Amino acid sequence: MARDLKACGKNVVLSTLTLIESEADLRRLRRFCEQDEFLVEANDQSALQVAIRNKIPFVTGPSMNIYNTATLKILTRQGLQGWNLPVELGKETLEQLINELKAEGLDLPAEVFSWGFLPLAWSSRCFTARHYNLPKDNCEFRCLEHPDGMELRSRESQELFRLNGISTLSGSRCDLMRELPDMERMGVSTLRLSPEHQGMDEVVKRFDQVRRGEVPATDPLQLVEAPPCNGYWYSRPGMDLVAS
Amino acid sequence: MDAIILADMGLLDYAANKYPETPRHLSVQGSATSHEALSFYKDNFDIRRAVLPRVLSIDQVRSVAKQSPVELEVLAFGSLCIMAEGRCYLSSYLTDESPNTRGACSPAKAVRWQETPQGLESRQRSPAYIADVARTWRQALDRLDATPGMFSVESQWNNTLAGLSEGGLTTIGAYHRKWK
Repeated sequence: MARDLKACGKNVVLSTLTLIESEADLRRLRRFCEQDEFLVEANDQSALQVAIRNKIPFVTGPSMNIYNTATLKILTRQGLQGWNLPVELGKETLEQLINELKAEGLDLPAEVFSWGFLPLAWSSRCFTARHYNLPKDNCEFRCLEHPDGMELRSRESQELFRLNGISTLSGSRCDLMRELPDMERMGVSTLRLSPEHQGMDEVVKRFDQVRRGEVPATDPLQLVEAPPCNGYWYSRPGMDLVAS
Repeated sequence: MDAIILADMGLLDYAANKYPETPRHLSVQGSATSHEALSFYKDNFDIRRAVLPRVLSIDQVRSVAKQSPVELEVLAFGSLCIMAEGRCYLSSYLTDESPNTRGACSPAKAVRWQETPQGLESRQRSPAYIADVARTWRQALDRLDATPGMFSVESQWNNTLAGLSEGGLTTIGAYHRKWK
């Protein structure tokens, strides 16, 4: 599939697992890092180690803990080509990090998670298997029945989270379309749009239109089902929606 | 000071360069779940020891330990979290404060407190709690040293520790993986 996409002119990045738990996970990781056809996105320190040892270029994903320029400098010396802002950070920290990098003469492409359910936590337990009372290693892939995860409501009936296998996602959908002009001004190079089961072509199209200046960023996409959020961008609780 | 426990790569780098003589231990928040991850921290920051995240089963701990380039520490008693430490943003999603950004998980300001007949459950642990836990574990470890191969858990130890656990409930969590 990656080769097909590449043949269509797409820039494909292979993303590694966030939670590496076994030798089998490590074997899969090593396969990713033993090729130079595609760029690798490292999502934990195991992936950093293997990529660095194999001397292949890499980028880091949103679950890699990068909270300061010192961390970026350590990784840049060893092959880092770009990085994702951790989902819980926002405009203020990103601007500071980009400015500090510039002052050091480093131009490192930054990516921001801009659309979709935010990946918030990982467990070794599979919540979907648990929901169906199935053992994790014999789960019948029941998660296929829940392509956008299972909704988890609070006792006050608030849509707090979405459970998807071993990961817990936000119950609200992150939407930073209105913040696109902010990001362009700061020099953010890439936006991450997390795919959903339906309507994704519309999402991509609308972000592209906004990027080209064809529609104003304030003209949002009317996709429903989950409330929007952008709190992290404004240094507020992630689930908040700040009007701009 | 015997050692300093750190998780952030920038801080580990600073400590390794400024105070190379002070041993560095990788915090559980460093999220090192494999020997490759441990090697990354060893190669880059020369850590002496690492605390393993609590998501690993005892078999997985055994497998990591076999190839680990550093001493290992595992959490043996206390409150359990089912999420992989160091990369959990549930707290900041709800309250804006998280372990990574403020060193806080579910900060007290965001909790709706209820006074109950039993009084308030304290998030911080008292010196008395720590003394009881440490004394009980010391006894168990000394017994293990004295009679290897013949070790068994005394009911009195279990009773003491159960009395210190919220609701009297204990589990060995992910270490025991019968749910797998």
